[in-house]
Amino acid sequence: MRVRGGIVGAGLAAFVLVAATIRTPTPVTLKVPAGWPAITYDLEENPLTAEGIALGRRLFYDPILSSDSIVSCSSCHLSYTAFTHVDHAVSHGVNDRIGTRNSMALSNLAWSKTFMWDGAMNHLDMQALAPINHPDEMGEETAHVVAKLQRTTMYPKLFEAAFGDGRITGERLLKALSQFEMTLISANTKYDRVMAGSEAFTDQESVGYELFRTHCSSCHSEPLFTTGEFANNGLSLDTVHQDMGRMKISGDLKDERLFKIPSLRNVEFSFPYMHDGRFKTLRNVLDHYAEGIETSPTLSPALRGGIPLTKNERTDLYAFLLTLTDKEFCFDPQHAYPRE
Amino acid sequence: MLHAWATTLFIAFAYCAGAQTSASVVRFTPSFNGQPFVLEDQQVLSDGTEVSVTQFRFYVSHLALFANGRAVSSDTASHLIDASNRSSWELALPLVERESVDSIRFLLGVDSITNVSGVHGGGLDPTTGMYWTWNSGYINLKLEGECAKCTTKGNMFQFHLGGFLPPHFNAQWVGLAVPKDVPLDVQVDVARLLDGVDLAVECTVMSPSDNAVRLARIAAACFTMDR
Repeated sequence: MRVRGGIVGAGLAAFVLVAATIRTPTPVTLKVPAGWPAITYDLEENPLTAEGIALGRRLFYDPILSSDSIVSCSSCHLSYTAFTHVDHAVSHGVNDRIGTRNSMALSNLAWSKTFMWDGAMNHLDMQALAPINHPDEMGEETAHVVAKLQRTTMYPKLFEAAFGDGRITGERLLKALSQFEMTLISANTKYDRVMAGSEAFTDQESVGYELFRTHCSSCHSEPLFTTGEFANNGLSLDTVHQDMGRMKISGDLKDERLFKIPSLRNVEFSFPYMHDGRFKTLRNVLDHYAEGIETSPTLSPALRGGIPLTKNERTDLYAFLLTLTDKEFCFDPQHAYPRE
Repeated sequence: MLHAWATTLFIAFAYCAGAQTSASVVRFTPSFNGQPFVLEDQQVLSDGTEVSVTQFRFYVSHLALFANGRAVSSDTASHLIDASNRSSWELALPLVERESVDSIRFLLGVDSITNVSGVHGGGLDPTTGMYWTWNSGYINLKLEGECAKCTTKGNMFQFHLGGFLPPHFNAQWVGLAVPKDVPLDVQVDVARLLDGVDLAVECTVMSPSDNAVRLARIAAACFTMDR
């Protein structure tokens, strides 16, 4: 009996020791802003943890994801400018290669149904495969990225902290990136504070908001400022790339020249505008909707004949669009390069 | 007390020993024009054309064994079968009496739910290269090789068959009658797929399309359990 007691006691001690050594990842709850719709991402498949988010953030800023170890996700998606590449019409990739599309501003991705300007990727997890493997972006192969990560001393430890053991797989790489990206929630603009009743629009912003609701919100619907759908917004066909947008993915003629309706949150920072960055300023964009709409069979019905806006109305609408800037989001230290 | 420990150990050993035989195994064996399939080797199609296959991989999912029209053992998971990796050729299902099984059925490819529900691990991990990176979706079947008839660079043919959205849903159901008194051994004759293609004019199919669906139907007919 004494021997058995000894065995049980030793077993228990060993169990306690092991339990104390294995650190389980710390669960994190995604903060869904009041009044917003439910997220589309299934968190049960990829529960958020502090360690998973930290790993995703580290990966987001690490050029190890690219073939020349120069390009990271943040090269085209800078936190301080709403996670896009200000003043660059189209994306810049490895070996000074130039892409064909404007890098998209990133925010509120847990609510997105499709990704990329043409909706090529159908899930946040899968989105990163596109830039990692594209020869004009990061020019890598997913399996090779995983092999490079496995050879580091840092990443096996970070994967162990996030997933319980140090195995590095494509699945875990993508899930960690998704975790960080889901924390990029922009919900503290002046517009949000006005809606919550803690601030008020100026008279000009109020006029602009009414114009927005009348002319823009059928596509850029609140509170995400996008329906997440695709539309032809009357741009002339770019003669160099002849980019047919959504049609290339769906193969459907009805999708010719349709592109993702981008969110207008932080639109102040996301210049230049449109899928090919053809408009340098927001004023150019408003002028396009008022005077430049090109009619074609797939033009959005909401834009037939253009949006009737006087020059003064465009100025008022512009004032409203500036209330969609979220400085807290852009300068959140949790979103920035991990210095620690 | 010793007795209790002994019993526990016995049960543990019995469980481990049992785990090795408690499965019905379905084996997928690649063949070529009725001959053994050899990767990276010149093999001959029915019309005499010489080809060399460098890669042959495909997914099998929703594998089920049937007895008298009723599924008696099944596994919904997607398994990647790779001609270059023999350990991937055998799939284990919950054990059933072999004699009662009269047909098997599986999906050649990945189902649409799996295609839209984010990233997965194991054989579905994107590092396998079986997920398109320009347009969401798994490649259900990849067949690559060389043939002098191909007018492409390096005389290469590349067939990446996939697509999960209508009208280009690509995965194909395959149902096979199981012959009596033989192992559950499925032959997949790679030559039959290439016999169905004119390699002088069609060397590359790499997107969801009518052609990909046509080739997937030919691929589904490559599976047999005839002896």
